Amino acid sequence: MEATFDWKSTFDHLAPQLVLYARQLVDSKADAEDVVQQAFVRWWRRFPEGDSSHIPLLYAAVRTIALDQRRSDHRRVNREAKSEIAVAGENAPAFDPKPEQKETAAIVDKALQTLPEDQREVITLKLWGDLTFNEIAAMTGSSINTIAGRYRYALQALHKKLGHLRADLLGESHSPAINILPFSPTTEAMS
Amino acid sequence: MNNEINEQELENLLRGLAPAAASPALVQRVDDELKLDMSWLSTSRPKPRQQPRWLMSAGWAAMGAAAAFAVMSYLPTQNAQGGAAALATAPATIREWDDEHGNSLHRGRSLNDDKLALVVSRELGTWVDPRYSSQMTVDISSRQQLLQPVSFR
Repeated sequence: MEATFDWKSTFDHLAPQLVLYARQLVDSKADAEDVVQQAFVRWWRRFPEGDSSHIPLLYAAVRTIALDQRRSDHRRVNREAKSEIAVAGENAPAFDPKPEQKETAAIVDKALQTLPEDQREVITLKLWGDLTFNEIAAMTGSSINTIAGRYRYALQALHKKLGHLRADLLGESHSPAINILPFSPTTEAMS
Repeated sequence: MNNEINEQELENLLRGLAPAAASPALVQRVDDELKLDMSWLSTSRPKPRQQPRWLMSAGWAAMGAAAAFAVMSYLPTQNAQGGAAALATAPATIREWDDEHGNSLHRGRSLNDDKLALVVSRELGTWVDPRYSSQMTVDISSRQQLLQPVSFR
């Protein structure tokens, strides 16, 4: 009997990261999903075993298709500018946060959008795509040092934007201690 | 106390955010496309037959052997016909004498040259074995200088 591989579990596992990555390269979530659809089908035809060692190639396919799509985007943007339906879902959230993470997710999403695209791409692939610097370098055609540098710069930039929001971002669970006193003993002692 | 988030915390925080799930429509579209793919594959592409690899090599070898046998069995027949013709027109032993310089003996300036003649010979021998209908033809060529017993000067 011919073995059939379950593409759905592979897709369920990979699709959120792929869509997030595609969203860094194209304008809308709808476009990103189109890109992911094409890339995944192409990849699955090529590697129907769903081997995890080929996952970087899937991201590479997403990248290629997204960049191709972006090149032919001008006409589409002009066409959709007249359509209100087409822009529905453009601002769909990039993350699926737990209730306590909602605010953090919104802040991070906003901060991510301020990064240069090449840095955003690297940080997405590294943090959510779980790719190594080597794999990212191979798929983007850049040197590993360049990729590591972009990642470092991106983290620094995010740190500048988010660093002062420690309490908001980490929430109470990450705070060193819940201060129920009306004054802080350490502040008192130092003053 | 440092109220700023450090980079490690930031990295962990970012990793902790789960990307939004793909929409059900996307899953459906991929499903449709892959189903279409599978149905097309199952109808248009025959299943590869499970046959041992050596079978193909053995098949080719057998075909090669058959071709070689056919050629071998054809060639002796042709030789037999040619041989028969040679047998009919030529005696069993043919001895030819020829002069390298136009049907005349070579004459040199020196006495010794005059006494030397170049003899080119070709001997054809044909044997037929009636038991096996086989035929063997031998062609022996030779080229030698002969010392003439008399001077032509």
